[in-house]
Amino acid sequence: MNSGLLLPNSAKGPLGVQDSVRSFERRRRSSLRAARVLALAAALVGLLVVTGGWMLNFSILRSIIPGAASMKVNTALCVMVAASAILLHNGKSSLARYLTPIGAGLLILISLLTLLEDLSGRNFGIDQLFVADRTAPVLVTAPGRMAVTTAVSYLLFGCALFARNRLKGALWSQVPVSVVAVLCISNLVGYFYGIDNFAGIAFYTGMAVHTSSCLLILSLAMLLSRPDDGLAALALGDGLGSVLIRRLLPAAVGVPVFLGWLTWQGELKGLYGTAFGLAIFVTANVIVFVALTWTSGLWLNRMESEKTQAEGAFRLAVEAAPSAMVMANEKGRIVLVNAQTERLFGYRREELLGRAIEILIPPAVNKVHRALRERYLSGPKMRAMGSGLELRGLRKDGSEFPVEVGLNPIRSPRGTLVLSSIVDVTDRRRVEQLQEDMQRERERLAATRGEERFRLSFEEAPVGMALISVDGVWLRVNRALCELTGYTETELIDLNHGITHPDDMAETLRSLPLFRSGQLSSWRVEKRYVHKDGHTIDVVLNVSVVEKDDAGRPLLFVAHMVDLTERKQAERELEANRAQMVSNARLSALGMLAGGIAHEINNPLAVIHASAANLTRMAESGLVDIPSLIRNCGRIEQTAERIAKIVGSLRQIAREEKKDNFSAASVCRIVEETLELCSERFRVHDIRILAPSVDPSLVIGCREGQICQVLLNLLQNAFDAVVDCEGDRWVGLDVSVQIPWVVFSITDSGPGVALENRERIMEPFFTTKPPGKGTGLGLSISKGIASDHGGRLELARDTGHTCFRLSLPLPAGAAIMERRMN
Amino acid sequence: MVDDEPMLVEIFSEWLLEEGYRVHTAGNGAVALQFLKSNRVDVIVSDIRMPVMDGIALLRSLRESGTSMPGIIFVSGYSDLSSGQATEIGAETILRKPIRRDQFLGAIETALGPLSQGATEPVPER
Repeated sequence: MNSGLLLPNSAKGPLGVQDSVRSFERRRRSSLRAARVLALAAALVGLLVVTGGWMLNFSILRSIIPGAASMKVNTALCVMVAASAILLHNGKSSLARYLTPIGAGLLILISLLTLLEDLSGRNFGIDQLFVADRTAPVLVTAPGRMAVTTAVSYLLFGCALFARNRLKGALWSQVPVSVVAVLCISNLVGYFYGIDNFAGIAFYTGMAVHTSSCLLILSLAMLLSRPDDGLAALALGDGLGSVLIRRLLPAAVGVPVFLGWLTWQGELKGLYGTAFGLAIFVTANVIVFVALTWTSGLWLNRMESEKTQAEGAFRLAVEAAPSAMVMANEKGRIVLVNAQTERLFGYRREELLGRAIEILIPPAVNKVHRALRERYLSGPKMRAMGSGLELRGLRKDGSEFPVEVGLNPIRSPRGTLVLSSIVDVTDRRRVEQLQEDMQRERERLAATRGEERFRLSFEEAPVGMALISVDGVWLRVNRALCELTGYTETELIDLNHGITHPDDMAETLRSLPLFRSGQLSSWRVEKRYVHKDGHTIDVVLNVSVVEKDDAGRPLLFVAHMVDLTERKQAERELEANRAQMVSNARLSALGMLAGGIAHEINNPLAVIHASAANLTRMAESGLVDIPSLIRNCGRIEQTAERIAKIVGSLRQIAREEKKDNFSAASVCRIVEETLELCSERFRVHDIRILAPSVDPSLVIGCREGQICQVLLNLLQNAFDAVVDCEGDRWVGLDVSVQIPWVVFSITDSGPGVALENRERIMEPFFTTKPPGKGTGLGLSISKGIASDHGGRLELARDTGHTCFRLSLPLPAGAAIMERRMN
Repeated sequence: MVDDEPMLVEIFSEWLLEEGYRVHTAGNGAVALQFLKSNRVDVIVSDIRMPVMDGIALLRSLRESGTSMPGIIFVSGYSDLSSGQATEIGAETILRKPIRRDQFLGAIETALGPLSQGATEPVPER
């Protein structure tokens, strides 16, 4: 099917239906509104006539055409009663149920009595019951009595009102009302044409103009007040016929009346005779009605084709739907099915159309479905059918299958239609069913094999297991536990928890009563047992309840013992290793210094050695050259001092300082000593050290050696970072005061720390240096030292070069020294 | 005499001067190399570890530039030079600090070999 063709049409199809539904609703509402307005108007006229005309004596209100028949008091009162009945009925109040029949009865009573008076010639005194009629009678009649036509009209009206409440068919009330309307129209036409006593229906008195008008209005109101049924529904409906009625009705009433009047006037003026006038009248009527019929026919054809097109598209859309679509009317009769429905249910289309929808539903739920269907129609909306229920469809061959159904109400002028879309979910259900079955089978197996499985899992478990009574007596042990402890099963059961390590015994004995009372239902603890050969076994013990008595007190426990001996051993080794590594790192840091220091000290030693040799030689020769003597001695002194300095710095760093208290140390000295230890190394490798002088009065509380170690480590790292670089190589050591910190910044000209390493660089054993060069502990130890000092060590992120910042707290009161050291 | 330790240069120079040698001194390899471009010496005494240009680089440069090799004595702070390496770069003797006077002068004489003392052609004073 061509969807390009379908779309615009399908959009038009259902929408067209919806549109007409909306316009029907609108017409229905305005019809009801009109009924109310008309009834009110009639009631008002009645009121005016009673009060103004009869009580206050305005003759114009009694008789609109002077000299013509007047509206009698009874007539006017009846108008008001009838109008009230219509208004009340539309109000739908419970009061209406009682008052409407009373009003109807009243109308019937008055009109019947009046007619009886006319027929019998007697006077029951109802004519002037309220107000005396002193006007001159127009015709020979009893004063104040309503016309026969009027009485007949009210009789019919009363019956109609009565029927409306009691009888189901709308025509019971609408036909009498229509008769009233015809009577009134004929009366009015008579007045219009100037015929005093039209057709001689009124024997005693004529029907007044406003009486006829009021009754006509009331008839209309009565018809309009029931727009859903009978004649009114026909005129207000959406069918093409209804449209035609609405178009032609005004013309059907108005055109002949008008043309007749025109012809009549011609005759009165003596322009032509009666026969000629009749000819003119008939010809004119023929012309007008032929024209009207013609245009209506054209219009109807156009409407028809549009509607057919729209419906065709709707049908095609339904037909092409991937799921079965079934449309049913309010009575549950199938009015539309698609091809998918035929395939799914195995019926041919014609077998389904017109049948009750229950033909597609298993008989067991037919009754329920019927009830639910009716409930759905009381408030139809789009939803899934029977959410949460297993819905089933019934095929022609009697087989059932699971379905999912979506309901979509479509309001139409012919009532609500329900479009159901039905999907076969057999496959999906089968998969779900299969999964459920498998699950159930698994559970069943688990239950029947539980015993066997427990025995097996107990015996063959790779971990030690014991069944323990509530008194702590071991009832059964498994092979793994025997292997773990080195005892046989009998020995173990005999020993019980006697194999517990003496140090853990107290704890074990303490826990036993807790189990007995049920306070502990499961327990996990690391404990030690003693192996048969005497060595200690580390285990993790898990105890849980496996059986309880009816009161919920534990009867039986199962204990799992997992051997931790190896893990514990590994942990201990790892711990030792780690300590060794830390210690090695320290040694290694010193070792790295050694190269530089050896050279550092070796040269001065050579100087001293040579100078001393010079002196010796001088002494041996017996020739003491005083200047030479002084020169050599001076060299020895100077050089020895240099060595002392280096050794001093080295001692600072090598000293085991952990237990030392902090002492005040000059930052300047720390920096100098640190540089002393490594400047030679930097110098030899031609790496510049940028170390500005530090304010000698700047003091921090610290373990001096540790800080030296940190700085040295940072300088060493900087050295390693730049030593293989090309071009200008430098390492900067800057000290600044940033209250409340003293910040040592070690910057190098190297390539910087790779982004991916930045986070990890302070982690222990993380190193970027080639194997054998770094332990990966330097920075982590340095960081530890920094935090021991209440400071921090961090990798600065705001510089292009690698820059480590060691921040140490200034002593209290040192803030006054706020001054940048450069 | 190439060494970055001024006092050692001073002492060694004194020893040589006392024995009648002419001595030119330099603080590192680069200075020495510059000097040797326009001057000839009979023997080079050089430290290994020096800033700017160390002893090994100095000897390599001399070899690469095709300068005729004078006798070379290497003075090493510690054992960071194997004898194989020393031969490769043309060092005849390796001395380790601290050095005794007789040891030092003996090595110089060995390096000079057949050249008689003071027989070197005059070189400009530094």
